[in-house]
Amino acid sequence: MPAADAERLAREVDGPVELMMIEDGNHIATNRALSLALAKRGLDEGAVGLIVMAGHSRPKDGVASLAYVPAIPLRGAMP
Amino acid sequence: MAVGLDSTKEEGDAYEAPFLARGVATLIFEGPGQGEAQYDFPIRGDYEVPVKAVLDYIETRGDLDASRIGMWGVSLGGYYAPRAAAFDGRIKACIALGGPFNWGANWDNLAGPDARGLPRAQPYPHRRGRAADRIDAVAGRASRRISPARSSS
Repeated sequence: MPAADAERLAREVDGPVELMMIEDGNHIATNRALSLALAKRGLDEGAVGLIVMAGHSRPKDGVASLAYVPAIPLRGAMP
Repeated sequence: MAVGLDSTKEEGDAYEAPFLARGVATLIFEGPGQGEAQYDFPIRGDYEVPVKAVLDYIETRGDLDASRIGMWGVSLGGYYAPRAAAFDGRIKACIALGGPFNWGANWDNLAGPDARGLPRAQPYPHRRGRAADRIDAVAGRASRRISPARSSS
């Protein structure tokens, strides 16, 4: 989703609002969550191989299916 | 906690953890078009309707403080959550993570060929008054789900 949508939401909310813009974040900024989690453990992404973020392992092909692709919670994958 | 488009409650594990670590009880659910619910309830824009049912349920729980309910939503749930907060004053705080402001306006620019030709989502309804005591809007500027250059908002 475009960052401008969050900026517009923040502008149009009537009441206290805080906009947190992750400049190098992807959609829902999971790339930053992964980087920060690894950094806290003194690791980089290359050191731990493939980590699948929970909730983002399924193909988004618009086809509803019960054939879930197993997702690995990030914290469970951390050494 | 509202998940995205066709997501499932089981996907919320990593998102619930920070709240639980802070002593905040979580309730993640599947609304129309999501997870197991999608087989009985088609996706709908007025997500405040299923949220009302969730809030009604929370109020039946004696172990939860219904006066301190916050709603978090991710992706399309980041649209659903502020919308529900606009309709139901029982939601006192809200986090919108990566949600669209007007999904319909971005529809034709969604990544992938499957989006075109499908029904458009509704924009936020115009509501008067405060949506919640507090709203946090979070987004990644480098999102590629929709090209910023091609988006309209």
